[in-house]
Amino acid sequence: MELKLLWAGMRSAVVRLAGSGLYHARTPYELVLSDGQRIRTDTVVTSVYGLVPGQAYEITAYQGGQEVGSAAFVTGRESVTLNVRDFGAFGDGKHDDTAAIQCAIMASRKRSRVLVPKGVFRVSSIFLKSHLHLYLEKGAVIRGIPDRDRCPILPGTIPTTDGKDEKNFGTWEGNPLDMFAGIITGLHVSDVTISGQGTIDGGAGKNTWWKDFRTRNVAWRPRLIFLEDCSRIVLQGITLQNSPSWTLHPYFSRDLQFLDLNIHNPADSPNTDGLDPESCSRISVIGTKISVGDDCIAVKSGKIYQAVKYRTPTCDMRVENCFMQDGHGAVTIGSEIAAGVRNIRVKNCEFSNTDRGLRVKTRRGRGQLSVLTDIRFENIRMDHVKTPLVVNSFYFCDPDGHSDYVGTKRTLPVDERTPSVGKLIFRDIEATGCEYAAAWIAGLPEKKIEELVFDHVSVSYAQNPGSGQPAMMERCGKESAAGLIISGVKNLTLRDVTVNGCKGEPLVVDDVDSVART
Amino acid sequence: MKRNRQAESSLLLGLSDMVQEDGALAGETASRAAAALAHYPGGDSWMNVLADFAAQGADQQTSWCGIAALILSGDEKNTLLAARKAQSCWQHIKVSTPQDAYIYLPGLVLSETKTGTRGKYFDYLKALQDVPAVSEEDLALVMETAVECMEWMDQAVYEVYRGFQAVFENCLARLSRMRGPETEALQSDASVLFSSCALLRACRLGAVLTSEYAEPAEKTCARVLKRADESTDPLIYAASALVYAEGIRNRDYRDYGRKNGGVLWS
Repeated sequence: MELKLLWAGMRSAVVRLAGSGLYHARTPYELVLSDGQRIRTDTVVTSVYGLVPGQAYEITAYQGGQEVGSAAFVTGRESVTLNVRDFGAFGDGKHDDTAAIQCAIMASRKRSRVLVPKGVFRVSSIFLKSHLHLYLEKGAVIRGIPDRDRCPILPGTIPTTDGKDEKNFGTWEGNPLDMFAGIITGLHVSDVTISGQGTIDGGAGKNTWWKDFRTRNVAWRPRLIFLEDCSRIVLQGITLQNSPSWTLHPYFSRDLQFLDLNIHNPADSPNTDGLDPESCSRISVIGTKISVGDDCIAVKSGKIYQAVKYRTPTCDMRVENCFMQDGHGAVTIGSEIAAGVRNIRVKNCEFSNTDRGLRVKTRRGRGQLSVLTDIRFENIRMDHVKTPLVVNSFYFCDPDGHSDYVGTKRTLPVDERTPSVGKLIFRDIEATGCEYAAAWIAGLPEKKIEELVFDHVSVSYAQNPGSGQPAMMERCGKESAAGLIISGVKNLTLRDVTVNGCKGEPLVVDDVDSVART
Repeated sequence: MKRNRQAESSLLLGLSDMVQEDGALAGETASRAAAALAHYPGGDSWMNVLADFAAQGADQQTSWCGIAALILSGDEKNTLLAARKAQSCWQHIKVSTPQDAYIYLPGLVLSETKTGTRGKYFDYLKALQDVPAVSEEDLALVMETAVECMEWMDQAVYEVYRGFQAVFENCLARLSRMRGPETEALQSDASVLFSSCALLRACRLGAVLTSEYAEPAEKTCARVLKRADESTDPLIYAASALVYAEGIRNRDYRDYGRKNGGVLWS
């Protein structure tokens, strides 16, 4: 085992005891800091708080009385703390504190800290600025006011003055459409940290943002946190909950770290994905727990219009030591991936009770720039995930999702609207308590999945497995305890794959060019 | 453009007469004007005119489309009737001229939005892209067709939406090159009215800057609107009503923003 520092801020830090487990440590352990703090923890990734800025620390991990690792770090320097109450915020859960908090943010300078102390601070939309450290104390809640009239709008597109181009601000499901600004919004900012033990609450509910959720009412629903064209952003330790739509949505941004977050939306809340990096690069998601009403993590790169215009894939992303619970997919690639996705590494994670575990979803119409490649899922443990592994190239999303063009199994001509799926590797995956099928893989007949590797994959089923659709596509019937059902693949490799207790054949292949089994 | 109740009464009379006409382009234009004004205060009379167009469209299964009027009259039975008619029309008609495009495509798009799977939008866009447009009148008709399709489709099928917008922008660019102060007197009334209507609608949809295009469009068509009352051409009369209706909606959008007159997709 090895104790490693992942990040150190002004007043908090994040460490990982590598080798102690996936998200949960196999055995609880204790962290002891050089300032005398002792923290008992049962997670592989842990945050420590109450640190002094500009101070050197040593931290040691003990398990069963034995030292198992240590690390040293220095906290960042802090020039001044700006308490939002000093700027007029009430924090009483009644007043609108938007202006006061915004004032504190705009007053901050490099190395100052904007402190949100314990209390409930109601806001419409807060905008970040560069070189900001926003710190939410334990018991601090920033809560969104669910009132459209108070929310600014980010327009989808505005034509430039010369009429030759356009500027994009808002977005909805991969298209440049009008949307309300987020509860927290960053537009073209860099070097921002939002950290602490506090909560950002979207204030959404069935009678507010989640009502008539399929309808655009003036503009599309806001995100909890929206980051557009931002760089060097760190979110650490905070809880994000009750988001009006997607919770954390970085858009055309880069160098992002999401560490030890807790993202929670009710299981029946609509479109409340946990994290949706869209056309982003260099993203780290570590030690984060997500339980939401849609996909926990959904990697995106826009729909075809944005892809052709900006040609910005999402790439270089790692997801490690995370826990996904409930939700539709634990880690999903798609469906808005028209600009492509590459170099994604998901490893050492736990999934529990999601509909699907590792999921790739795409469809005709995403376009020829939609190339998925170099995507690896390794060392994942799933429990009670209904269908652990899904690749669906016929996903019936969008208003035309149920059209014949999207759903037909006939071989259509390959044209500028046809997407590609390259190499996908599933390695060291253990799924227990599975229900519908071990895997459902459906590639397009006209553009098959290039390469699919299952390496050390083991699936077993729930005692009384339920029956349901393994994938959201036309003419996908209900299955119960089915094995690996695979179609539309060029090269399939199965290495040490065991399926225990399925009804019917453990492997059913159709339209697969080559199958290598060891 | 401000509401002028007197002018509206006069327009209303003229359009009511047109229900009995068999000039497909004029009738279709008139029905769209009636639809635009039917939702305004005091719009009951316009709704009655629209209902008459819808009944005409229901009777004439093949010779005149009337799909848009059937749906816009707001009756559920009519919407289903329009959907059936759209499917049968699409199999038989050829959209080979800008007039065909204007008569059929917006109604087909509207029908697909109300009752279809949205899968046919792409076909309708291709049909419009393939229509040859050379003269000013052609370009103006194609422009107006494109923005009407934009307004009536589900914007979330965004690549198709922007495809229609690209057709509009292309026609606008070509029309702008053809026109100038020296050619103003030579511009046909129909081309002025349809292109002005298209620009006002495009402003409301956010496809072009209102600050750049709205007032010039209103000024351009003002001279034609002044003499529209005396026109004996039913198409000019109908197009005047359409521009008037769109001008009112544009004014509301400028005054009250997106919550009143701005296009909402749902």
